[in-house]
Amino acid sequence: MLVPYEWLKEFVPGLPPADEVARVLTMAGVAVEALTGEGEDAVFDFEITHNRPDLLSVFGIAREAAAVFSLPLRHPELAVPEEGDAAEGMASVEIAAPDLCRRYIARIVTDVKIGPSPGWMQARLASSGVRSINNIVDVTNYVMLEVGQPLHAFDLDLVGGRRIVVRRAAPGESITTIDGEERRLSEDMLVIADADRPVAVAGVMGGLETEVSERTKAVLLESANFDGVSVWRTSRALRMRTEASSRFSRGLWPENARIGVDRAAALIAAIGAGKIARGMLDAYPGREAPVYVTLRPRRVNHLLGTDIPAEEMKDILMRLGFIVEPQDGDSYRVLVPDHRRDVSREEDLVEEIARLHGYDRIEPTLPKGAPPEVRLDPARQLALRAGEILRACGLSEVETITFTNLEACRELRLPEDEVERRAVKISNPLSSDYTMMRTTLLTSLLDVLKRNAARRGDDVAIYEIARVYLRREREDAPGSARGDGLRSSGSAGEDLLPCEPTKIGLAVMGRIAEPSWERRAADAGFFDLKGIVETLLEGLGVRGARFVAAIHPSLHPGRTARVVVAGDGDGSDADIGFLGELHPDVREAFGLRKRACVAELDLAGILAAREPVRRVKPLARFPAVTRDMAIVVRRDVPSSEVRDVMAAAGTGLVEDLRLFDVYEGPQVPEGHKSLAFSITYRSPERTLTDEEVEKAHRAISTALTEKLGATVRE
Amino acid sequence: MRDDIEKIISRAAAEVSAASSLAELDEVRVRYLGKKGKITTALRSLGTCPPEERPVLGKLLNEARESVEAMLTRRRDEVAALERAKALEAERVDVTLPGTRPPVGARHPIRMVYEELEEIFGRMGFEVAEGPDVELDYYNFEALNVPKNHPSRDIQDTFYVSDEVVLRTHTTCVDVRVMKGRKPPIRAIIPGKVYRSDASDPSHLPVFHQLDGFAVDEGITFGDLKGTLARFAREFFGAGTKVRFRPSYFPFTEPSAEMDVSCVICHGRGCRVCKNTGWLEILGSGLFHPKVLEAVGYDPEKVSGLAFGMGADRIAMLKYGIEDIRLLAENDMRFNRQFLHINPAHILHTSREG
Ligand SMILES: [Zn+2]
Repeated sequence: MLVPYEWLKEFVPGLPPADEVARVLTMAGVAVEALTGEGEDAVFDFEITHNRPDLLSVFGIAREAAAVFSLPLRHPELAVPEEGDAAEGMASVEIAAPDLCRRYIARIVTDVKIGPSPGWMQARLASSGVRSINNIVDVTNYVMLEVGQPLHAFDLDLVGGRRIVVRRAAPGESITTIDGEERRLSEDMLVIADADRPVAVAGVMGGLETEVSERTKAVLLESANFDGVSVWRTSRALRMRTEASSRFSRGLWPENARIGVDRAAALIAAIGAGKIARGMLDAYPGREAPVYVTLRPRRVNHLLGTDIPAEEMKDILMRLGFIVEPQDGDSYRVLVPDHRRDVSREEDLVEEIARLHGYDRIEPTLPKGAPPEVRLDPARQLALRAGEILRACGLSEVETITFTNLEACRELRLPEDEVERRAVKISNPLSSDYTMMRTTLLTSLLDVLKRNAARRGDDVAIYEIARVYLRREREDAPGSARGDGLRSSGSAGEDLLPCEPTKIGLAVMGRIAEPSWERRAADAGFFDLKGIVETLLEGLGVRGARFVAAIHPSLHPGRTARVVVAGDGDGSDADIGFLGELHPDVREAFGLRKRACVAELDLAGILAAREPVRRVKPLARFPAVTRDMAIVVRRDVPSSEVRDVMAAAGTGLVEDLRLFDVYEGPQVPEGHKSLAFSITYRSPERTLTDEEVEKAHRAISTALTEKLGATVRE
Repeated sequence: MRDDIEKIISRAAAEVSAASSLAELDEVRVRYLGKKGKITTALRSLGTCPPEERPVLGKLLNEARESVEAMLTRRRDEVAALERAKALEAERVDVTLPGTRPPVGARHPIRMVYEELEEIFGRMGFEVAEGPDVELDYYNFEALNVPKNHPSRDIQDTFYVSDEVVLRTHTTCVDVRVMKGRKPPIRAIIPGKVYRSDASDPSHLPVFHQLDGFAVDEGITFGDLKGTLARFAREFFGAGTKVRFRPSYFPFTEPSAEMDVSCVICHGRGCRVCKNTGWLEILGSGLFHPKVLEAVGYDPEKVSGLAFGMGADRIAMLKYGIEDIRLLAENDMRFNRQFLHINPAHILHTSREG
C-alpha cells in the first residue's frame, strides 16, 4: 500500500524524516517494504499484515505512527455543511440481510456538477497509484485511501424507486458491473438492489447502469459495513478482487462507515462538486457491544520474560487508543477501540505492549529446566545410514518433486487401473504435469534421468530416500502402514489420509565411476546395481536377502528381481523391493540413450528385517583347502540353486563358494552355461586330510549331476 | 712376492671402484677370489715358496683376501644403492596427473541443511518429528486458528485432495500432532515437504521444504524464543551473525515475530541479495496462540510455547549462494555433484550461550 509522506504528515505534523519513520514503524510491526522519493516527496510502500485492516489507510497509519512516536494526532475534517431538503425524503434504505450487513449509511448529494477534481487531490491519488476519473469518483477513492472506508456513488435518478435494499441475490439474477462484465449471481451473494434489480455486488463492485456519469444530477453516496467472509467468498466466486473487496474481506468496523461518509460529504462540498442534503439514511442493525479485555501485568511479564512496569503498559495501550481502568487485584479492565477488532484476548494485548516496548529490548534467554529426552526415530536413523552407504557406492542424492501425472505412469507402463485406484489426486492441480502424488519413486527418478539425458548427461547414478503416497485400501487400517510418520490413530478423519511409506529408490544409467586417464570405466549394468543393493542391505544389517526372478511392467522381463527376506519371525517371506533394468520401451519413452537400472526398496521392510547387533565369528584356526570346480548346466538353472545344492552336499566342510566365471559360447552346448566355482573347504575343529576334501568335492560333483543334470569338468 | 701382493691389492682396489654394476663387481670377485683368481692361485702356490717365508706370506695373502672381500662388500652396497636409485628414477610418475577416484556420491543441499539444523537444535534438546504430507484440513488450518471459509486462507494457496484433505501448506500441523499425543515439556523440530499452488519461478516451487520447531513447557517466554533462535542463527550462519525480531502476524502465534539475520553476503553493508537493507528475512516465529494450546488440550494459563518455521530451500540458497530455487528440484548432476564436500554440521561448532 502506497502512502505519501506529506499526506501522513498532515495528520502527524511532528513526524521525523521519512527514512526514520520507515525504520521505526517496521520495527513496530508496520512493515515498510520500500521507500521511494526524497524528503517531503517520499512515498512509503507498506505491507500490512492480515490482522490489521485498520492500517489500510493514510489515517490508519497516522494513528499508529502517532502512538509509536508518542506524537499528537490530527483528525480529518468531518464537519459537513448540510443544506436544502432532508435526505430522508429523497430516498430510502432497507437492510434485508442484517447477518451480512451491519450498517448501511447513505447521504444524498444534489446539484452535482461532474468535472475534474482539484489538482492537489489528483496528485495525491496519483502518488498512491490511483487514476483520476471525475470529482465524485475521485472523492470516493480519496476517502477510501485516507480513512480506509470503501464508498460507492450511485446516480440517484437511475436507482429504481430511489430505494436501496441490501439483500441476497434472487435466483437467476445477474448484473453488469462497471468494468462491463455481466456477472451471474448466486443466492448466497449479497447485493445492493433498487426497487427492481441489483445495482451493485455488495462490497465488491458497483453496477454499470447506475454509475455516475457526466449527466448525473444527484448522487446517493453509500458507506456501509458488509460481512468480510461473505464479501471474500463472493469476490472469489466472481473472480473479482477489488480495493473494496480486499478491505471488506479483512474486516472493517461499522463506526468507520460514518467517518467515511462524512469525510466524503465534507470534501464534495469543499471542492464544489455538489450540495449535501440534510441528514442521512443510517440503517444500523448490527451495533456491536464494547469489547473489554482483562490485563494482568504480571502475566504479560511472565510471557515475555520481561520486567515492564504496569505504568508503561498502561501508557502504551492508551497511546494506541485503548482505555485502561484499574480492576480488582493487580489487573486492569481494557476497553478495545472500535478500529482494533483484532484484539479480543489478553495475549493480543501482550503483543501490543511488546511491540511498542520494543522487541529488541527483550533480553534473549534459553528455556529453563533440563531439556526433555531426545527421542530418535529408528526409521530416520536407518535412512541416514542408508544414504551414507549409497554415497560411498557412488550414488548421488536427489530431492525430487512428489507430484506426477497419468501420462508419466503410462510411459512407465504402470497398469492404469492400479494407478487410478491407488494414486492421490489433486482436485485443483496447477498444471497437467502435476495432477497426482507419486505412487512409486520410479516416476521421479526417471524424470531426473530424462532431464539429465536431455542436457547430454548420460552418466547418472542417483538415489532418493523419500515417500510415496498410496490411497488407503480397505485392508489398510489407519496408522497401520509402516513408516507412516506420526499419526494419532483412531482420531477423526485419519482414515481419509493415504499411506505414506518411505522408499529407497536407486537409478544408475551409464558409468558410475568418473572416467580416468588410467582406467576406462564401463557402463553399469544389472549386476552393478545388484551389487550396490547387496552392499546396502549388508551395511544396514539385513542378512540372507534373496533375489528372485520377477516381472515388473517398467522393467526388462529377463532382468528383473524381487528382493525377498525372511519375514518377521512367522516363517513367511517378505518382499522388500525390486530391482531391474529398464524396459527398452520405457527407456525410449523417456529419451534415454544409455541403458539404465533401477531399484526400489521399502525402508520399513528393511527396518523389520535387520539384525540389530551382529556378533563376530571366531577366526579360523585350521588351514583351508581351495579347489575349483567348473560345471555345465541348463541356461535356466539359477546360480543360487547351484550354490544351494553345492552347500548342502558339502557335508559341512564348505566354508565359502565363490563364483568366478560364467560362460556361454562355442565350447558349451546350446542352451547351457558353464559356471566356475572356487570352493573353500575348512573344518573348525581340525586340519582336513586330502581324502576328506576329495570326498566332499566328489559328493558335491555327484549331487550336481543327480539333482541338476550338470556336467562337472575338473 | 711381497711386492706382488701389494700390487694385487692395489689393482683389485682400482678394479672394484671402477665396477659400476653388480655384474662387473662379480667379475672382479672371480678375478681375484674365484677358483682361478689371483689371490686364490697365489695361496695355492705357497707350497713352492721357501718354508721359512710361508707363514708370513700366508698371513699377508689372507689379509689381502679379507681386504679385497671388504672392498667388494662395500662397493656392492654402493652399487646396489645406485642401481635401486636408477630403477626408482625409471618409475618416476607425474604427480600432477589426476588421481583415480573411487566413485563417491554427493549430498543434496536440502538434506545437508536439514542435517545441520537437526544437529544444532538437537544440541538444544529438540527431537525430530515427522507427519504426513497429505494432511487433514483440521491439522493444517483449523487447529492452527485458521477457520474454514476464512479470508485469511487467501494468504496460502492450497492444493486440495478433497474438502477435508489438503497437501499441507506448512509443517506447523505436525506441532499439533506431536502435542496432541503428549504432555509438556516437549521440544521438537519438524522437517518436511510443504505444498502451495505457486507456479515455478526463480523463487517459488509448488513443493518446497520447511523446518518448523517448537518448545512447550511451563514458563517458556518470548525471551526464550529470541535466545533459542539467535543461537541457531549464530551456529548456522556464523558466530558474528546478528539477529533482529520484527512484530508480525501468524494466526497460530501471539505475539508473533519475524526474524531477520544480518546479511550473510554483505554483512550488513547492503547488497542486491538483501535489497540494500543489510538484513535477510529468515523465519516466522512467536508464542503459541492460546487457541492452539487449547486445541491440543493444554491450559494456556499454565503452559506456554515458542514456535518457529523457516524455509529450508531459502536458507540453503543463502548459505550456498544458489540463485534459483528450481536448481534444488531439477537434480541436474552438474549442480548436485557440487555437493561432495562434508556437511558443515560434522564439524564441531564453538557455541556461545545467549
Ligand atoms: Zn546484503
